[in-house]
Amino acid sequence: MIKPEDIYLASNHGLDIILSYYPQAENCVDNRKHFKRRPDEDDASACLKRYDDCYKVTDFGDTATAMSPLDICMYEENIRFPEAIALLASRYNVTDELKRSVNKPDIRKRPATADEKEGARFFELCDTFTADQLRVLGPRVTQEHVDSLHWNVAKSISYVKNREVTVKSTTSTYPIFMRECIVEGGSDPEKVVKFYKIYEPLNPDKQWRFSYTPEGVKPKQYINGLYELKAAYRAFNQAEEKQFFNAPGNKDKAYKEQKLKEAFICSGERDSLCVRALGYYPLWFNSETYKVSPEEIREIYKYVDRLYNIPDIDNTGRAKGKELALRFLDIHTVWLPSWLSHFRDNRGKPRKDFRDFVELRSKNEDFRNLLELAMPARFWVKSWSERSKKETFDIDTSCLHNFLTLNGFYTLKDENTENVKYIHIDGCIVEQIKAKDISAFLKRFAFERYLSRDIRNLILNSQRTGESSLSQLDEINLDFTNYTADSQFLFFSQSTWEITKDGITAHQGQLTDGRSVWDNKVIPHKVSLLPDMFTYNVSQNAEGADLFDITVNEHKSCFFKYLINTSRVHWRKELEYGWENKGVDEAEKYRIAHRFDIAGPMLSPGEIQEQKLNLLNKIYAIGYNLHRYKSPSRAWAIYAMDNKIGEDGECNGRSGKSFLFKSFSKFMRSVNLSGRNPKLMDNPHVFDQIDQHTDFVLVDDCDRYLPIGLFYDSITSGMTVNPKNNKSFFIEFENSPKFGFTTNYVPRDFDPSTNARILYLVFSDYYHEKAAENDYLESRSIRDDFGRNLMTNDYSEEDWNWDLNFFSQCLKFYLDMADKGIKIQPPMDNIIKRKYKADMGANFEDWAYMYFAQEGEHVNKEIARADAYDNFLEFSKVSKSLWTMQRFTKALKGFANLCPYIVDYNPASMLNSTGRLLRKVGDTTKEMIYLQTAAKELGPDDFKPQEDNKDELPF
Amino acid sequence: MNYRSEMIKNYRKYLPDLMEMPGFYEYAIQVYNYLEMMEPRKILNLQAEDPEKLKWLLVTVGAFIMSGEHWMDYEINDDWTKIRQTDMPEEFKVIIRRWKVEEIIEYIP
Repeated sequence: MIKPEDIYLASNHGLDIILSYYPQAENCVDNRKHFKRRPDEDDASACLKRYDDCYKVTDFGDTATAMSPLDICMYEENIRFPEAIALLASRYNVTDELKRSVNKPDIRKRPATADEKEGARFFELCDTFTADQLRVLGPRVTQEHVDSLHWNVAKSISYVKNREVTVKSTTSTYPIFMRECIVEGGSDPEKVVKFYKIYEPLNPDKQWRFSYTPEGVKPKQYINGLYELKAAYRAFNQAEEKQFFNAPGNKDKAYKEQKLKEAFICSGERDSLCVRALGYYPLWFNSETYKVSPEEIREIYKYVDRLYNIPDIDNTGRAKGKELALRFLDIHTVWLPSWLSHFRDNRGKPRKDFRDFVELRSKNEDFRNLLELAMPARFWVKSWSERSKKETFDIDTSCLHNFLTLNGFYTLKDENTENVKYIHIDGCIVEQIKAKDISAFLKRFAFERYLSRDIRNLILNSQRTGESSLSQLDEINLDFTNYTADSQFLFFSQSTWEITKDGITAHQGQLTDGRSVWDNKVIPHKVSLLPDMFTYNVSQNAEGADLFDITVNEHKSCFFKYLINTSRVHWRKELEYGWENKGVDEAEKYRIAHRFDIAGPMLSPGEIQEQKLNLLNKIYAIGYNLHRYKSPSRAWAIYAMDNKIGEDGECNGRSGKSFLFKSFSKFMRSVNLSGRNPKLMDNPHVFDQIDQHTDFVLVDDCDRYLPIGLFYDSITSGMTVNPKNNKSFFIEFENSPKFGFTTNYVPRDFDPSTNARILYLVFSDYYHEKAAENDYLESRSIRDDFGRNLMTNDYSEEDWNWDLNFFSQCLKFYLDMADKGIKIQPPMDNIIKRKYKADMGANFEDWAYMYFAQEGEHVNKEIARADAYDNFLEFSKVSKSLWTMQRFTKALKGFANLCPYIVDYNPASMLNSTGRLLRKVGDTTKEMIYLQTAAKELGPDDFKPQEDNKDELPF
Repeated sequence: MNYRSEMIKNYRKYLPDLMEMPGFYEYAIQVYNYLEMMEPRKILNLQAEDPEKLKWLLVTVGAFIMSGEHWMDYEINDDWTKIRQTDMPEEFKVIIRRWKVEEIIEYIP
């Protein structure tokens, strides 16, 4: 039990508590300064002083008594002492957790005597409970209450095993309780069987808290408290009967037995004792999953008029409470207030049961208030009409709404619309419905339950089942975000996966934090968690650069296999070149054995590393895209392109890029835009299909001239959607979709501003189309590898399960990398090289090699840029409007990067403070260029080209 | 068929073994890159002091010529001692593309 001293110890003798309520008192600690408790007070009349146990505040303008931090909390929060204790304990992380070292019984062993048979179990009981033991059972529990429910304290419990007696004894920190459970044999109340339920409430291992002795006596169906209820019923009627016959007029009349007013189904031993302590009769089951039978409920109703159920308010408790209420429509469910879960119990967990409630609100009045709100699920009431002399039925609106909410029907709070939004919740899946769907549900219910025609007519005819009444159904505010900054939820039809960097957790039914999902966002597959399909390792080299490694484990995910093959940039060396002039069978064997191998043995370590990095980059990008959270520091678009690029900057395509992006539509609401139109962004309504529910926008097959820069604003900040014939609206960055691009062209820019916004993906040409323009030996598509299309109708549930597990593992990988602040870009050398080539174009390249010849007069020397530009224009016969100076400079940089003998372009040492190479030539200042050639000789093993300058025939 | 033409024309026969040899791949990449970046009408003498390196060079040239459309952009002289970046007009390339590579190889002496 948490005491005020424990809280003061954790809060700097209570000073932290006081300063959290009165931060203005900060300068008044340990001095004589005064402060105002309320800013609008005239005088500073309060002072803060350390007493023996804690700091206290004395307000001379008020009561002039010293208020402890707990008093202040109670005063400021307007709560009672137990609540204040619970609140502050939760704020300052004070727990009274059970400790194995402290909360343990005294266990001793001794040799068994001849009388003590092998396997025997015997015990010794104490006469009474101590005050501490009673406190463990509940705040108001007394000896009388434990006696009435046949509870005892076990002094010790012993059992004989291998001729040795183990004696387990109660200690002051570990009570062992035993309840004498009585099972009636039949109609004769005297014929009974007894067994004991052993209860060790402070056992840190929850699963060992209960046991039964002797073994095999406890019947399968047994309700605790029922025997005591029957006894109370008999005693009540005996007393009533006696009183009845004592009345003078009743001598010749027959006494009619009366039922007790009520009984309560509780969710555990301590809850039941708390109910008993309030003067009521409790009933409880031996486990949370106990399925009470209709016969048992009928039996209970023989003795009571009204049966209440007090379920716990955790997820299981709520679900079980609803289930019971709907199975037995007359049971009144007492829902504990939701504020209860805001307080923490002594183990630091949200409070959830009746004992927790009584600890915080122990007055009878508090319990009576709860009973006042308890309702049955039966929503029709029967009464006798004296006028028509027959039974009439009416609908109790309050019970009807209770019945509907128990079945998951609510209205949704939506500030954007005046209309009532009806919803149906099943677990965490929310479906928007219409009022008539609720009426249809009621009609169906009446048929399924074989309700009489009068009731069925009542349901159809009553205004209380009409839309105006239903619009007052309980309003609920749901959280539809399926992510946090470091986790992502994937909702499947029968479970929900919570993915974090540490792992994937499967949840069933409602989520603890109330997170929900619209039914159209549920992934319609049945999934089960599978082992990791890949393991990875991140290390750093001597220069501090990240080094990544991946090992592919055994798996059956077709998607992962496809992804591996799209990362095999050296596939030709492994599958074609390496086998030329070798056995065909051997080659075929290798191809089959390494069909989906990222690290084929025929590749060099460098090539394997390059392929692995390509694969990890794709896994990372998939994870990035599936994480719906948008971080301003990770506002990227995914940009997929081919590794093999033609000389004109165009790739062959058909490499499987679009398939990856289209697979995202299985998880997220996606919008596809055609990037083939270079004037796409000229359309003012380009984003008209997008709304705040859109997760991903794919700009597919981008044209060479599509300006990606125009998307930057939408990538890094929110976006304005301008639908046709409608008012435009703005989607905030946090809710705006992520972007993806696929292209068959080399990107036009690799500048830092682009790189900061783009996460590149490089696709191998493993999947390709043979054409007259290329030298491929065959065409290969994704279908060829698997013999069927992936992620289509002929995909089995097992295939889906593997792929969905793979996607989830991609998410986990990304979240881990994101946590470490790592962005994985693919190996870009080839792409960048080809990009420079595309920047130049063949014409410029011809000119540049001539103009900046290795031994020529324009290298290792400052040249006026304008002169070089003019020379180029003259050579190529192109107009200035086509080849601007800016384009010329860009091409020049590309040439300097690619030309094998140029080592530097405009060396940094020659530039001025603004990064330009300016020189005064005559009267004018001119921008210069300087291309420095390689001075160093190649090494002995290097290729030394011997050029021939005589262009002579015959060739 | 002389040694040089054998190495270039039948490079497929020699390449797999050479790929196993340490240093060959690094060497071939340099040749490959050099040829790829060669300016139009430029000529490279297919010479190397070390006979083993000459073999490496010739086999790499053979592989290079046969990849992509290099067979249209480069030509080798009659005695297989030089390679030249051609300056073939684009229209001519379009016509040549209709032919099959294998048929063209047949015409190479």
